Order: sequence, then structure tokens, then C-alpha cells
Amino acid sequence: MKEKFKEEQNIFSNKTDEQLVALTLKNPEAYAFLVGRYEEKLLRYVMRISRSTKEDGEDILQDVFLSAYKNLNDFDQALKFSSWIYRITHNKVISHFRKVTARPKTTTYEGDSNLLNILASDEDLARELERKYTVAEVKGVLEKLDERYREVLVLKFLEEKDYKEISDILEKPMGTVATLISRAKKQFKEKTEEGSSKEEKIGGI
Amino acid sequence: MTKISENILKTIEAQHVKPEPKWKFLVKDGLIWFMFVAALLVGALSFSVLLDIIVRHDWDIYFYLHKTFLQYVLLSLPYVWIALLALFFAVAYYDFIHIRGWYRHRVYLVVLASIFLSFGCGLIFFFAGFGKTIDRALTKNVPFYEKVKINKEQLWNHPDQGLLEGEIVEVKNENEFVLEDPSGKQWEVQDASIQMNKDVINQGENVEIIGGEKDSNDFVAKSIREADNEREDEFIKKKEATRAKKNNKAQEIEIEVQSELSQ
Repeated sequence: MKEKFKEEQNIFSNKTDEQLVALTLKNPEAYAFLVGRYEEKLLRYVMRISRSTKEDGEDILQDVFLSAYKNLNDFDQALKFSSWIYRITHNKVISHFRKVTARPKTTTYEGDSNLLNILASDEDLARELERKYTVAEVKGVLEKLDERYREVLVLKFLEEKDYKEISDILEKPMGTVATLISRAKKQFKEKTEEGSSKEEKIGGI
Repeated sequence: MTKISENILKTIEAQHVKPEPKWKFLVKDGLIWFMFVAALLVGALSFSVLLDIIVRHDWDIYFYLHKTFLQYVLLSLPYVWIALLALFFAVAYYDFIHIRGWYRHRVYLVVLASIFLSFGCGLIFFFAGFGKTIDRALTKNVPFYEKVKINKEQLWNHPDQGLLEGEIVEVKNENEFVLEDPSGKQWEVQDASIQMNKDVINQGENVEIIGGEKDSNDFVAKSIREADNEREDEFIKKKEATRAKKNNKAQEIEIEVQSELSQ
């Protein structure tokens, strides 16, 4: 069994995502390699945008991969496979939280320790972050943002997607994506300022 | 193999999950396109009806009503058709945002192009007479359509301003009849012209009258027209047929006279 897997791994590891989609339609076992490529990225994405627990995130992910498998013939060749699977994930997260009215308590993805550096790589945000916020503070601000703003910031700065990919994932025109990112940055700055003025007040007392 | 991929493969195998066939997605995409185009076409038909109603509206009675032109236009607009037109555009927009890759196009350009296309087709349909045909069919077959289409009562029920509408309940003689207005009040109507048009004045007929109020129950008519557009058309056809007959007769007489003269 292990040998067979290794053999398949050799065949499939050099294939592009799109080639793996075509192969999966002939041989379902090829799908394991697509899942393997995306499960960690998508779990991180689910947890970042939904603030769900790891267990919830894994449940959503199961649903995402099953749904993607069922809809493989609907995969739009005009898109990157990654954009397509991120789109399915985005939709599943939304429908999951429509079903569950109460949100779970905030949890954060352990891999976000360099969150501050990533967000600071953007010139505008870097200026706001000059005050050397702690990672926890930045996370706190992100969690206070409106969902749609948090999601575009996560996609742009944490998932490192370009405008076209974000447009494909959220199914919004590129102009709308640009506006959302700009507003998200603005709200991010406002929230960081709010946070710092509160701290100053507390310090004054 | 990771735990998640292993679980997924197991689920796929256990539940016999298979990718949906491609044709299903093609049919779905085709249906959305079809609904988008259909919404635009129905919108175009609505626009042609709207144009037809506006063109054939009683614009001449504006001078009798003591209202500003804007007030008159607002009273005269067929709001049902305007609402329907807006509804079909909304449906077209809804369909459009479900078309695959819709967000890659400039939305305002698509919206403008759709409106332009729909209005363009609407104009063609209007000149082809589709608007008129639809309006007639609805008038004939849908109860209350005529009342909902334009609030004629608000336009015509102003005896003090020389406008009266209602149903002829009794024809008294050649130039006098009794009319019941929408409020149920009965009016003695006299035709100011020498003789009433017998094609229009029949018991049970709905008519619109321009004239003047003589006293609280008497009205003098200067012009009487059919309230029902369909019958108005039949009336025009009858008139045209009579005129054609007369012309033919005149021609026959002329030919006879000429032949007699030549003999």
C-alpha cells in the first residue's frame, strides 16, 4: 500500500493542479494529492476568516473537498484551481455560519506569529504599525473588523493573493476588490487608533 | 497521505460519491443565459406596450384639466408597466450576476448595454405593433387591466372642468342619453352637435366626453369617444369601410356618367 502510494506520489507530484483535476476525473485516487496540497492552506484560511475552532475548521474542510470533488466538472478552466477551491471554501464558511447562528469563541491560528511583519509589509499599514503593536494587538484589531474587510485583508496580506485571484475567489469585480481593500485598510487604521487612544486614557488614570 | 485526504477518499468510496456529469453544469449555465435573454426580451415587450399606451394617451384633455403639465404627466403614466419594466430589469440583473464569470465584465457597461438593447428591441416591437396587440389582448382577457393601466377616473371624472366618463345606461333619443359616472351619479347628456354618432352611442357603452356641465345633472357634449380602445379600433375600421364603400360608389357613378357622356 505504502509502495503504491509512493509510486503514485512520483507520478502526481510533478503535475499542475489543473492536470490533477483532469487525472482525478479518471482516477479518484489522484484527488488525495490535490487535497494534500491545499488542506493546510485552506484550514488556515478557514480559521482566519471564520474564527472557528480547529475541529470546526476541519469539518468545513471535509465539506469543501467533498463539494469540490462532486463539482470537478464545473471547474472553470479560466480560473486557477487555487482560486476555485478558495471560492468554494469562502462559500462553505458563509453557509456554515448561516446554519450556526451563534459564533464560536475567538481562536487564532498558531501559524500567525509573523502576522505583524506580513501586515507591516504594506506601506500604508506599516506607518500605522510603527508604534510596534504586538501580534496579539493586531489580531485583536483584525477580529474587530467587519467580516468582508477582514476577509479581503486576510486574502491580500496573509494568503498573498493578487487582485485577480481575490476577484475570482469572492466573485466580485476587481474595482470592487480594490475599494474593499482600501476601506479595509482605513477601518484597520481607525481600529488601531481607537485601541491606542483607549490605552492612553487607561495609562493617564 | 494525510488524515484529511485519507478521510475524504474513504468517504468518497463509502458513499459512492462521483463527480456530477458535465452536461448538468452546461444545462445550468444555458438556463441562466436563457433566463437573462428572456428577461431582456420580456422587458423589451413591456417597453413596447408602455410606448403604445403613452402614444395613444388622451394628451388633448390636458387643456381641460386645471393642472400643471408635470401633474398631468404624473397622472397619465402607466405605473403598472413601469413597475413591470423595472421588475424585468431586476430579474435580468439577478440572472446576469449568476452567469459564470460575470464579475470579470464591467458591470455598468453590461447594465447600460442591456438597457440599450432592451429599449432598442422595445422600439422595434412597438413599430411592429406588438405593444398594441399585447395591450388589446390584456384589455380583452384580463379583468381590471384597463382600470389598473392608467387611472382614467382621475383624468376624466371632472364634470366641472368639462370632462366626464361613464357608462351609457339609456339612449333617450337621437341627441340625448343618460350616463352613469363611476361614482354612480346619473347625468343627462345632450350632444351639442346636430346628430350623435350612432356607432358610439349604444346602451352599455363606456364613453369619455369633452363638453361642459350645464347644471348638477346635465352635461352638454362637444365630443364623445369610446373608452374601450378595442372598440375604438373597430369603430375606426367601420368608418374606414363606410368611407371606402362611399368612394367605390362615387367611382362607379363617375364611370357610369362618363360612359353615358361618351355614348
